Amino acid sequence: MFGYTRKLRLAAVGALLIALPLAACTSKSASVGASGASSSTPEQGTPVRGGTYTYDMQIAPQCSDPEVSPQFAVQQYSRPVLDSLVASSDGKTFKPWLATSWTISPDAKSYTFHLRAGVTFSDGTTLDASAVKYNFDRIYAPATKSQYAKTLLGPYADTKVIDARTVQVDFTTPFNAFLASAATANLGIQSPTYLATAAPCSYPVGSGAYVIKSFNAQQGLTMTARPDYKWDPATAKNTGAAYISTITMNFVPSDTTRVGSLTSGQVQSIEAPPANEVASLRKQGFQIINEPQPGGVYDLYISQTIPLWQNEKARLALRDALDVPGMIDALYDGVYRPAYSPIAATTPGYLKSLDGSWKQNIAQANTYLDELGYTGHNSAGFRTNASGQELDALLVGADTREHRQDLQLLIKQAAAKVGINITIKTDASTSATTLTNGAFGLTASAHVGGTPDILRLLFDSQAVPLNGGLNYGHVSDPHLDQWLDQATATLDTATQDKLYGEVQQYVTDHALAIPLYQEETLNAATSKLKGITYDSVGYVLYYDAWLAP
Amino acid sequence: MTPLVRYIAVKLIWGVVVVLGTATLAFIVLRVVPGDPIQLILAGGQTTPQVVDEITRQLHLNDSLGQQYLLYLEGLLHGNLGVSIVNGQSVSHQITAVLPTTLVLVGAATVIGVVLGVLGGLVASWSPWPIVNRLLTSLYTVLASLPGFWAALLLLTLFSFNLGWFPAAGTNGWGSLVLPALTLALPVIAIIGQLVRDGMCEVMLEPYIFAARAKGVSELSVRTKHALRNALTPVLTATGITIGSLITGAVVVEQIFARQGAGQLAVNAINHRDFPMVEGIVVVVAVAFVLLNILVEILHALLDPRVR
Repeated sequence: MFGYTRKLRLAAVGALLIALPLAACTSKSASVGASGASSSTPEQGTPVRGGTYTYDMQIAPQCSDPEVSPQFAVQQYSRPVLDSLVASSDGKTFKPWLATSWTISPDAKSYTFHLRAGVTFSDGTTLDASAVKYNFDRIYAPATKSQYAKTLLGPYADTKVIDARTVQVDFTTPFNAFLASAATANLGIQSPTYLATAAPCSYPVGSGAYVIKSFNAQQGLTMTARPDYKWDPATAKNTGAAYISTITMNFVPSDTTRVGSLTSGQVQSIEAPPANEVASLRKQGFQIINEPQPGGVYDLYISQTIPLWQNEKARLALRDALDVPGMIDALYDGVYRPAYSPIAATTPGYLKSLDGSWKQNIAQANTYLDELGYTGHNSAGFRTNASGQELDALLVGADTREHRQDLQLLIKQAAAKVGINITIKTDASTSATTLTNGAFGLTASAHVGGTPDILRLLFDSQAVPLNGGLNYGHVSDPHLDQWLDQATATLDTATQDKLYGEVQQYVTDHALAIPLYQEETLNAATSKLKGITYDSVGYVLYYDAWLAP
Repeated sequence: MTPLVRYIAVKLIWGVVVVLGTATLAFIVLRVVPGDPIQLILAGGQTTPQVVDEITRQLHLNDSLGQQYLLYLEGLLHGNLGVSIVNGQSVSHQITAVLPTTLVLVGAATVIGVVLGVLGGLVASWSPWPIVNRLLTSLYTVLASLPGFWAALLLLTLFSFNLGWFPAAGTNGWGSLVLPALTLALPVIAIIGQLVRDGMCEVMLEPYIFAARAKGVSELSVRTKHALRNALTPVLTATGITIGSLITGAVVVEQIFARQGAGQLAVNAINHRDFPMVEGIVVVVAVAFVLLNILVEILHALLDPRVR
């Protein structure tokens, strides 16, 4: 199974070669895409009600509950089904949704929300303060085994029901990122009546504009617009029921099958078209919907438990050896963009001055490595030190999304040019074990999140993986800890931006991580799909979307 | 006890041994692979020590290997395959929910493969033009060596993307069954076609064929009634073995056509290191494989008294 993706890719190339003459003589199928492109409907038309929209997603969820699962697919289908306390399109400004207003205590340890009246779940029960408490308490309970939503609750203490429509969420330490968390689908409010009897990892039932009518964890789901929906978020243009009547989402793992289904008009939209297909799809008149996702970029983390990498010169040498923008453009053809900071440019608090602030410098890399004492070379051409020890590193990562294994190879080749021998291990068990104990050298991963608080999960000395954090590099630096603590405790955005800026600058200056590319939600869709908007973490909102006839 | 009943009883006992052996192997392999299962399970996710404790307890990872094995066997004997680590739902429930679609797929592929294979074999052995025989033989070589995923993409491109006759993905009705079943059936057509052709060529030289012809039996009747029945015995054995490979082939085909089924369930379980689920699927597939083969052997015994 493990060489499968590569084989498939080869097979796809072969199949396309064979398909070329077929495509040339069957003008019928070719015109399906073309008619969509030449459609005379203006971009800003009047929304039309009705229609059925089918979307092929890449990966079926293992656990269907957004309060438990960290998977993209779960967030994608949960967003139309669940309403959140607040709405945000940028992670900085927050507008009313289920909560009409809210207050935050000056120490950022207590949030009080006033809930909208008359909101009902699709099972007919009422959404009130106790429903909010039920959801947050459930996410926090160890028995729920939440793998993502729980981190969004930060230092959660508990939730108090003040009255039926007032709820107070308390934290043990200051937590200024809570509004951004509360805006995500993972903290969307589900029906407690449903949750009380549902099997573990069931699909969500909420108060959203869409209601899941049928759900098959392997196959996909169908949701229909709720006719009596009237508590739309203040960020939306639409009011009342959603425009598209039925949304079907299928789980289709094969790239070729998804692309072919779109181009032959069997579906209206697909997730994650391969980067090398994007230009051709665009040429055929399909719209490429790629929304940058805020949070941790696809970063190369450098383990600080390995003596070699504790040395700043070694880390800088590795970064200087890599032509990151060149590698990313070669691999992704402009679809994914290179990163310069450990967080994405769309994350609030992003330090713009880091753009282009470092680049490949092979001479400098060689100088650093000479200074480290790796002046000899062995028969394989890799650097050795005085005792004959080779300059080597272990790169682990079992991730096959977005051709990431090709990126690992490009990094290996670039490092070899300055004499660093990188060994790549892609098996799940090596990567899982070493990521937890830090015994790897290098590893790369991306972590979507709506606020710069993601920096705390990535670089705070307390946030190592065993504590539920994302500090894979096992970075432990008093400067970073201090800035991160201060940033979490203040409600003043200017102070936050300054502190998070310090963190990004420090991580960059000391090469504690090497940013590679920025994560995106990437979809290809028929040009008839209009009015797509996004939530603060880059997931599609279907509430304003409509299908041109 | 008649010889046939004894024959079946012996096969059943061996079947139980095979299933137990497979189950034990699955248990050992999953525990021998390097890496702490907890870390495997939680890789990529964000977790806390409480979650680690909860999973350790649930998987009995603090017990000795012997105790774990006994617990596992006890569960198997009660038909209890445990609970998925990833979604906390019953493993047997999840498998039985998708097993029928895989069986339908494998069944359809077997029927297509046997029918087209036998027809092709008959045509090849009967055709007065040697070129037909040679063309079919070459085609069989190509079909038998065509990798499943590639054949799938060719069929998809032609019949779904270009001609639009069948849906590319899904498990909705007969339309969505055609391409996956055909993909799986291609090598079966080749193997059975070749076997029937060879068998027919051999049988047609037997004295009883001459006798039948001498009696004035028509050529069609000689071939389909007298010769084919004898040429079919090896086909039956081959079909039994092929069904096993079809179950494996279903893994790839279900992925490409996004079909619900045990194959996709297995791939997802492996990708997410869902040990109880992987063990459950291995056991269920082993049982299905053993039962199918016993069925084939019983049919074989009924057709050919010599094997009893």
